[in-house]
Amino acid sequence: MKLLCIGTLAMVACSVIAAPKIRIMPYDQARFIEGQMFDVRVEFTPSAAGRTILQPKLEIGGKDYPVKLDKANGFTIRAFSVAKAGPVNIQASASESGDETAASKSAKIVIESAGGRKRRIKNIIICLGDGMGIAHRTAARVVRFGHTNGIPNGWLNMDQMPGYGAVTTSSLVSMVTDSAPGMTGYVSGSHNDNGSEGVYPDNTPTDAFDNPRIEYLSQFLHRKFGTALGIVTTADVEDATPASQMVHTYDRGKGTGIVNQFFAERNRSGLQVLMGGGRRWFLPQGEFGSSRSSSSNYQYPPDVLNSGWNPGGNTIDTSSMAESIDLIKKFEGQGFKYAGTNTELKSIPADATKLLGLFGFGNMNTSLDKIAKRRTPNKLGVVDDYFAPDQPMLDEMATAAIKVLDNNNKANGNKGFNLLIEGAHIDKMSHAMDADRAIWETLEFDRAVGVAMEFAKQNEDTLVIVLADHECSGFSLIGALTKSMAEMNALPSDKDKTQPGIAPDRQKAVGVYEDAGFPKYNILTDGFPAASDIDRKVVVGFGANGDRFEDWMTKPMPIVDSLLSNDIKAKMQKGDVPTGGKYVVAPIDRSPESLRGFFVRGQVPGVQAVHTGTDIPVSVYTKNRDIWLQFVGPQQNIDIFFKLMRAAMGGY
Amino acid sequence: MAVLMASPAIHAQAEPIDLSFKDMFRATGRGLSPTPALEAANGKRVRVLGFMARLEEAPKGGFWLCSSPVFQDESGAGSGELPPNAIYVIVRGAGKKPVAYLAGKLAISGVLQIKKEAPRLVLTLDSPKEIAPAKGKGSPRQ
Ligand SMILES: [Zn+2]
Repeated sequence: MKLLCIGTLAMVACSVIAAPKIRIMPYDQARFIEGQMFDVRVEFTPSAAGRTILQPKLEIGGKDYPVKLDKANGFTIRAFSVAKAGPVNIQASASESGDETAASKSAKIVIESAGGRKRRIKNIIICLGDGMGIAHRTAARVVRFGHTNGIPNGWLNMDQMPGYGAVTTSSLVSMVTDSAPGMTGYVSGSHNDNGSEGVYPDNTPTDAFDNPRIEYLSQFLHRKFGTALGIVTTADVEDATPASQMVHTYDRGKGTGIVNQFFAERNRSGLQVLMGGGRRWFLPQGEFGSSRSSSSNYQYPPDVLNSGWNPGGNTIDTSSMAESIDLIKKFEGQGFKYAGTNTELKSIPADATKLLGLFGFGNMNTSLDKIAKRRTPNKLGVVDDYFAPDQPMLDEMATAAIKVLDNNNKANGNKGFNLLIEGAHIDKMSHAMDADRAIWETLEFDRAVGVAMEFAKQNEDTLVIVLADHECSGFSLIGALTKSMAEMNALPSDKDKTQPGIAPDRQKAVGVYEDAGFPKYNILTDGFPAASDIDRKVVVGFGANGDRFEDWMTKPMPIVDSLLSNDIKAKMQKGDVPTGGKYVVAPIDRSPESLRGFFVRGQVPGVQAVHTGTDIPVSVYTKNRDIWLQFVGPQQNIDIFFKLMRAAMGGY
Repeated sequence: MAVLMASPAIHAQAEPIDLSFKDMFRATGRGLSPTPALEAANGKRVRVLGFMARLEEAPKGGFWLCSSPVFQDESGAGSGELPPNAIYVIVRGAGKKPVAYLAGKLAISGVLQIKKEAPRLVLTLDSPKEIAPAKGKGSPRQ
């Protein structure tokens, strides 16, 4: 760039001779495996309005590619891939009208080899505890098993895996990620922007579905070996973690388009099992309970359909994109067995090879709320309010998914499968600083991990990996109460003890070091505590907290409309409607905490705890020592993809 | 469609019909079918007890009223925690601004409309002058 100044110092007239800005995706130092597809996009931004881009050039690995700029002064090569390992230089240059100066930029990407002659892992089961840090795991173990003389009385399933390491969680734009790039890094090998799934950023922000794509592990292995894909979550299936197995979008909130892509690209990814909540995206627009809308939908970019993303021109099925489509029926038309309740899930034919299970309209309910209904089936509860009284637990969904995927293996000569099992609400309950529910979610998740491990023990070519997309809330096991529940309930309110130097009684009740001792919970046959509010219960703190009142007790069950007595109308007419003082979920308003707990000033703005940039633990189980040893020690989140690929392709 | 188009003011003087969240739909493993009680309330002034959903990305000019308290983080397109019978309440006075969050159980009255597209249940909140003031402590919060 040259700066020419004309005139005297007193009357400076400067004109800048500038050149366009250039952005290249994949980003510099991006890594891929041999043959993995990705889009290359180059964008030129003129230095001033009214200038046009001239002589755009693109060279990849020393070879020129003809450039035809789109309306956004960009250019995308779809479904690019490199067959041989090694560095590849992407070089772009251009000038602009009114200036002869050319700008140029390069991105050096690296292609890695994953193939080899060793025995391949055929089944990869990714157990993803959303927001689950190391302290969530420890707290769940302490609650589930307790200690004797300092010795744990038992270990979680995920504790029993030999391949134990630590993983970074940053995204392309921040050391603190959200669930979308947190997951895509593990299954694509690339960092993504926060909020985006399987794509790089581009300069057409109004179109969330035209971004440069990166091929997922599921898609690559399906293309190469015919591997099946299963997705199981307790969230809405539209949510970031499940979608980040096979969906390409820059906006994780575009529900209709995301779920449409599950259907449209099922044959690109080998999708055979899809289970979770999110029925609202499958019901046709106009039906009660449907959320299908044009504002969250899209049309396929023609250049995607005419590229290697759509082999044969007919792999992507665009027949069912309209909002008026009943996607449950469409999946059934493709041979998927449908279950909308746990009862229906249990009666899926034993030889089914395709399964769609949608057990809630949005997210499924938390384990505490599901278990409450199972323990007292005749009592109306939260699950009734969500019109989903008969929801499966995550381990039951995992069992059904593995059965169906194993049926595929038996039918297709053991081509293998990739399965995601997500415990979604560990994160959600941690955001809400609801320690007991977060622990219950971790316990439910670990039961599903046990199902996966059991399969891996019986099936040698199986790998189970436990991950989290990030840690949430700075969850920390700080001790245990020194008091009984009766004593806690008898304490005076700490609400107004906000001055430094005046210790709230509930703060004084926290036992640290030797005063914490070993809390002991009564675990019922369903695998969960009989009660969370026990004498000397565990105490959890939050290092990434929002403002809250804390009384250390289980956050009360919601008081739901369906539980209200019939005399409420009379109360309403008398103007005696309860307001405030009842259960609410935002931590700062939650009652009775806000009436008796002590005020904890959050370190972050907003009403909830946030994700942290802390490394998360990884645990791997497989019978092959050479494979699980890869995961021991510190590693990047995107390294996980390359290690899984080497396991799946025999190059470890 | 005449009922759907009726101005809320027409109904303002009428005593609202009490509509309970539990009486709006019957569910199957697939969808929801509206009850006669819900269909009868279409276009009428109703009173519903519920909780204002607290969303990370709050809508502008209205809020979601739910049968139980809802606190929504970024998951599920930012609305995965809303129960399927959540009612979208239009607060005309809010214009295009988010509505300040109110904790606790609320009694909401206004004209209910069943729309053909999501959000299908829309309640236009009574404006203050259209509501007969409630008596006593703990009066309904609007
Ligand atoms: Zn989160």
